[in-house]
Amino acid sequence: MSLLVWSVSALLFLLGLAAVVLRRQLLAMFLGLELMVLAGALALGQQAGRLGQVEGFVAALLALAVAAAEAVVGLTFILRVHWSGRPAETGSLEDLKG
Amino acid sequence: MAHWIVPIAGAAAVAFAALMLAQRSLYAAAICFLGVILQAAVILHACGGRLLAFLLVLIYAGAVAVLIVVSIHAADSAGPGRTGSAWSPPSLPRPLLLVGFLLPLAEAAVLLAGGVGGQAASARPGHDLGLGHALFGPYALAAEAAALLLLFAALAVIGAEEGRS
Repeated sequence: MSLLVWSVSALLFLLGLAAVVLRRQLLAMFLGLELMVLAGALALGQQAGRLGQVEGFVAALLALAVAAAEAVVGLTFILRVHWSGRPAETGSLEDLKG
Repeated sequence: MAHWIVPIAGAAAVAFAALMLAQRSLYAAAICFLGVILQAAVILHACGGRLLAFLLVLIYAGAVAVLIVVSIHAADSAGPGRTGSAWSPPSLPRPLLLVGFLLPLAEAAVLLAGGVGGQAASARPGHDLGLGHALFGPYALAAEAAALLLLFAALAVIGAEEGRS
């Protein structure tokens, strides 16, 4: 059971990493990042449930809250890139301003 | 522990994540991500983290996934950065969509009705109570910091939008 959930978490993390590495659209990369955070929270929650320690649940909950804040800011940045007339892809973000 | 719900939920979560990676349509990828969230919540519930599972659905499916879909729609309707089929409507087959939303519902119904997962969850009834005590006790500062971070993120978005307009 524990090994199964660990395996699922690892697979979800790897698939999220693959989305970040392989996809060019910023929103698809963002979905991959969220998937990686979710996999980490899943592993933390499973281990906390197995050991009976609430600290793991607290850590998973805080990770989810930080990921929600990251989602708000990240999606705003992606929309700003899109509204600036550039395609929301990695190829359009090669130079830094200033 | 839940002997058969967790493998089913785990397999479905990995399958939806793989589908998310393979989708060209961002709408379809977001729907697949929603399927992963629901299956992860079922796994967490079966592992005894009922409150965490509820908050996962509340935060991710209720806020983040909706925000993602709205962003895709806003970017889609805005026009200038359209990249062809990337913004196309969902192309997932309907039976798969039905499975994606009915399967977690059935699993949650079994868990809440006190099936194998319900027994597992009730074996340690103090988890939810302990989580509440921890969030308002020794980890109150961390919880406040996370809440402030969310507030600052919202204020930053408002400030950025005002600067743009």
